[in-house]
Amino acid sequence: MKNITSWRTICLAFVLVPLLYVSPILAQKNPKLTDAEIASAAVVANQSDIAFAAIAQQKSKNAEVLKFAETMARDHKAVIDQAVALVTKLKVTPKDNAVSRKLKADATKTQKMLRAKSARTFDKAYVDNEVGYHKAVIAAVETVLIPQSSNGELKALLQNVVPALKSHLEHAQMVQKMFASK
Amino acid sequence: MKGQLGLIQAVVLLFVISSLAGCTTPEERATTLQKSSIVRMHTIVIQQMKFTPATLTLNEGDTVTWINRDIVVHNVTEETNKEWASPNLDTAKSWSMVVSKSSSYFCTIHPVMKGTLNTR
Repeated sequence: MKNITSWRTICLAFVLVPLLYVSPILAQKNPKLTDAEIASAAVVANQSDIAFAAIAQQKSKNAEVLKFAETMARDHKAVIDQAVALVTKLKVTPKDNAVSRKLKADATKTQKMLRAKSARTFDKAYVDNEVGYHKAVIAAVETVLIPQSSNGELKALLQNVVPALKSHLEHAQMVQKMFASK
Repeated sequence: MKGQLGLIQAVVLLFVISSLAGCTTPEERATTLQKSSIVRMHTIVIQQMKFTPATLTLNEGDTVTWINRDIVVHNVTEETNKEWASPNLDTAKSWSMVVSKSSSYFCTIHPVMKGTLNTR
């Protein structure tokens, strides 16, 4: 009987934990976003991951974690550069909105949590967060940002970003497995 | 009339001599043909975080060019012993290599991206 209860707890945790990551971004279910607001949300999402990577580069001594953080910083900067080039071309000014504000607030909390981690627990916390964060961002880009983009070039840029996000997720999961096997 | 015949004979003779000079044995012709068909140029496009084609079958001595058409920087590096590696390739940059043997390769920046070169 106790075993059944434990299993229920595990199953419930398995279902709820990913939702904790995804729900903040999708909390504004079907928020109607303009292209300027979508551009802002996309830039904030990329900036947040660069900020997490910067903390990892300061705190980690693990070669795989440092390599992953370097890739995150490099790739997300490349995406921001492309987004900035596009909005400049389209003469659109990214506009702050509920989604980008929520992303910023969550990123601030995450940065605080990561900075508070000890050297021993930091690497796992950083990689676990990267797995959850990329799952959430992929869901948000695919279900909110892409469908709501009205400009074709903005939509195409977001569509081009998805494979990179999925590759980051796979890479993070690869590093995560390394910690699990230790 | 006699002069015209002489001219025709000279042209025919010249044609025969030049043909003979360019003659090769059937074996030599086959080898030349084989060699010219071996050396080929191949292109692998890096796009959407994938190498396309991911598996390429080619002959030893062929040249492969990787071109980065993705939005982020990539490289190609031999997987087992890092026997060969390209520099980091920005968007629109390419790198070529003459292939001497089969190998598996990957992008060190994105280790989930992998490709294979199979020599015949």
